[in-house]
Amino acid sequence: MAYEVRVLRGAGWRVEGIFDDETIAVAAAKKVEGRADRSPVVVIQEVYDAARNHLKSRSIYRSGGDLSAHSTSMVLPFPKAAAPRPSAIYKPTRRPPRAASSKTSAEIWPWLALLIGGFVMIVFLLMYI
Amino acid sequence: MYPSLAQERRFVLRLYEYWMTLRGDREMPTHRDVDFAAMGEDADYCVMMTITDDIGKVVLSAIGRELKPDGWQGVSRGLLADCPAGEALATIGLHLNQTLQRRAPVSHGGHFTVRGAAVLGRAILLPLSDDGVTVTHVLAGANYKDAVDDGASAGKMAVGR
Repeated sequence: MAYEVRVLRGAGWRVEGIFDDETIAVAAAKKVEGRADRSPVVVIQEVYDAARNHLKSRSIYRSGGDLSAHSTSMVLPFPKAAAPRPSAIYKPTRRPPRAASSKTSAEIWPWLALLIGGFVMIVFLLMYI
Repeated sequence: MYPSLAQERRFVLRLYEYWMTLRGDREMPTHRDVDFAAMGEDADYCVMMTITDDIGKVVLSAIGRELKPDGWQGVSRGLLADCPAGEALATIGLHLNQTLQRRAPVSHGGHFTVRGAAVLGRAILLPLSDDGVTVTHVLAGANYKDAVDDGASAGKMAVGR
């Protein structure tokens, strides 16, 4: 298992240190953060699964640097998407009450036509019986 | 310039911070930037490695007193390949390739020996470049504590029960 300290420089992430201890890695990231001129700093944990020959990475620390100031078109496998801010969490909103519209009256017409048609049929039946 | 013990109590982080200070805006500092005199007692736990074209012939151009293996006390230079296996310098050398390939500091901890005594410690390797492109030197440091202490105290506890 390894922990990589990375800092966003220009268009890409640069590795600033590789550590085998999480505490040391995060402490090192904070030192980098103090010098990185507000550049975002992350610590990535990399776990190699020998049985599956699979390398799994996840972000365990992320500085408060401004990512938007360093916009990049690169597809970065890290860090994981940050948890949405409370204000950004979707909340179902109540729809405004629907105003009485032409749609309401439009729904009446088939019923009205059916009623009139039925009435006319009854009248014809009474006339011929 | 070199962080004091009060500023940072962890040896590898003092060395890491010093490396970052020397580096400035560059990718890595040069080996001439390193001032062992400024490092105080920490210099005794450091080694300067000169990288040659032949990775098997890495030259130890400065060796801290506390990292010298048995029989090396009078030696100021040597070859990494000549260090006894398991010694601090040899253990540091195990991670040299990773430092050269990644061009970044590499730190690792674990058990090794210092002049035959088992210790538990942590090392860091910091790449240096004289031309700004190739890693020409690596500054490494390792500090440690006696690994026997923990076992002995555990043994005493077991005996006392």
